[in-house]
Amino acid sequence: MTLKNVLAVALGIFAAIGGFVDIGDLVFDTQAGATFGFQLLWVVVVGVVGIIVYSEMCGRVSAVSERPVFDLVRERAGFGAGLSTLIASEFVNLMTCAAEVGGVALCLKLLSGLPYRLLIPLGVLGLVVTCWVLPFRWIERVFGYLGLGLLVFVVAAIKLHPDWGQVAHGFVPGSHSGGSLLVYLYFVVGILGTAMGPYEVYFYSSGVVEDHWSLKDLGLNKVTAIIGYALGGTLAIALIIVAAVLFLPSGISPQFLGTPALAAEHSVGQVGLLLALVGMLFAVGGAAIETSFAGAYSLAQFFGWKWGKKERPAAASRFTLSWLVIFALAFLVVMSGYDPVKLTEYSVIFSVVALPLTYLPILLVANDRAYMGESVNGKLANFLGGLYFAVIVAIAIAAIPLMLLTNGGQG
Amino acid sequence: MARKHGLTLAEIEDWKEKFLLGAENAFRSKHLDEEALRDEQIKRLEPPPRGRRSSAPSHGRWGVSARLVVALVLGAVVLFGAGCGGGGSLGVKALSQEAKSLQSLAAEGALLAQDVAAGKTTRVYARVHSSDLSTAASQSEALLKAAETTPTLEPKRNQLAVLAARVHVDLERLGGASTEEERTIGRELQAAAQESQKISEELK
Repeated sequence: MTLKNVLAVALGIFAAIGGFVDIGDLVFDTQAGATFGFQLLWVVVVGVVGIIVYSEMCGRVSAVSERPVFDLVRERAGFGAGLSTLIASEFVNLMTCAAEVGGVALCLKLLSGLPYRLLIPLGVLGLVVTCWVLPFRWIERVFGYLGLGLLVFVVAAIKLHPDWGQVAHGFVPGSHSGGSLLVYLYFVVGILGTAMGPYEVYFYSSGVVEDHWSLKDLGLNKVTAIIGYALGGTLAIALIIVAAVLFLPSGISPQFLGTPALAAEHSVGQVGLLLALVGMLFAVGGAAIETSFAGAYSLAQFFGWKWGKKERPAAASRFTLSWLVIFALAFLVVMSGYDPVKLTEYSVIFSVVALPLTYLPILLVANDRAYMGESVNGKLANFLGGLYFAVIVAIAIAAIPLMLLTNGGQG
Repeated sequence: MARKHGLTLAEIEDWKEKFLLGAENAFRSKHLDEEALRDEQIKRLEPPPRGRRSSAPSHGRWGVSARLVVALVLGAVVLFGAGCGGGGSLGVKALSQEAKSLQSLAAEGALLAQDVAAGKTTRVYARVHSSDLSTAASQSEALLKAAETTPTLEPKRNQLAVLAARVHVDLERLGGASTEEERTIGRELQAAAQESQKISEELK
């Protein structure tokens, strides 16, 4: 693979590091491992395959049409349904962005020891300046590759010497032990929700247009989606394993963003701790950028404004103002005192409810031969797309009742 | 369905009602006890004052997706509100959860203390993370001291409150302790985690 290709895959790595391993994953995966051991590993695989299927599909749609997904949502679903999808996605984006901004401040606090309330404005300012100054490709590269510090969790998982037979058993869905069925199902929904968050596909498809991908890049789209999200999935699996080996036997139920870093510290030492904290900072910061951009992309594409990082801020003023406002609102939410970890749990569950509104138009357009020509969904893509859509509808219906019945996974 | 499982329709209706009341109560910032819930139910069943018109919801032109979005937003607002509540009375389940939570804080503190003593961590991380854990233990201590419970559960509540205070103080000391103290704190926290686990199991 040439350097050019390595850099080209940055979109997938950025989307996966920021989208797959954001604050939601850091919270849900470690809690799942600490509660059910290896038993939920199979859910990560299901989620990874799902997000690969849909990201590849929406990347292909955007590359063929040179138009992003939200543009097509409005065209396909009509104004009313499109507006509903827009409101739901903006709401979920804002909640997620607030959680990620809080996560950035928490990571900075763990690294610097400065007060949390001082670090919230500093963190937001840093993110805004980064988005303003850096071109899209460099945002992808900086956050994607520095987020790879999280690979220390893979090293930690290996160094903790898990029972690999038990780990392998966790990849097979089956009966569970260690908690009630409802709590188990709540974590299934949560892990799938963090894996298949709606902002990931909005961001990914807009990124395809920002990176000027066309028909000749369909192969790169496939490779990017597979490598990026498989990497994200590997990190999620590593988080579950370290939590299962280190936290479950001691009865530790992770409630803080600093807890996953403790696992890296315990097995790799100071260097491991620093790599974990830096990786978490860039993964969570990347997710904050993705959510604010995804919100601005959706708004601009729905109303037909000029959009994109490729444009000068003044040329795409309403798009620029949109992501600035999303950061500002997220800042206000976090400053009002909401615990980012709690906010994350809510944002993941509510994003699950909004999933069908996001994924149905993608499936419909990717399946439309008149629109996609030769690049229309094949039999496998259609089968997997349909299957995952059924899964998405099922978890969307179950998400809120499960959250209420299990008191947010506490049983 | 009822006949198949040897139940009466009234029993199923009663379960349904209890489930809905429970869910509604869970949304409140301050959960009502059983008596208050019963009073509220009686009030609801009383006939409305004369002249008041029925306020049955009318969906009109709203589409399904629009209603879904509104429900999503309202649900989140209510849940955020619910998250702000606290205090009240502690039953067996809540006390057991508090014991588990305390076990978790103490065990995590013990692991951190072990790493601090072994020189595996940075000073900043140890200070910040132990302070976060200590704050959570102090909140647990305040809740346990303020909450009411039944006379039979009172000794357990007291035990847990004392444990929470110990965990809080130990974690507070961890930030600036010498290596020998760090080891002692680690052992104390480990013991507190085991005691909390024992109380949690006794409450089952």
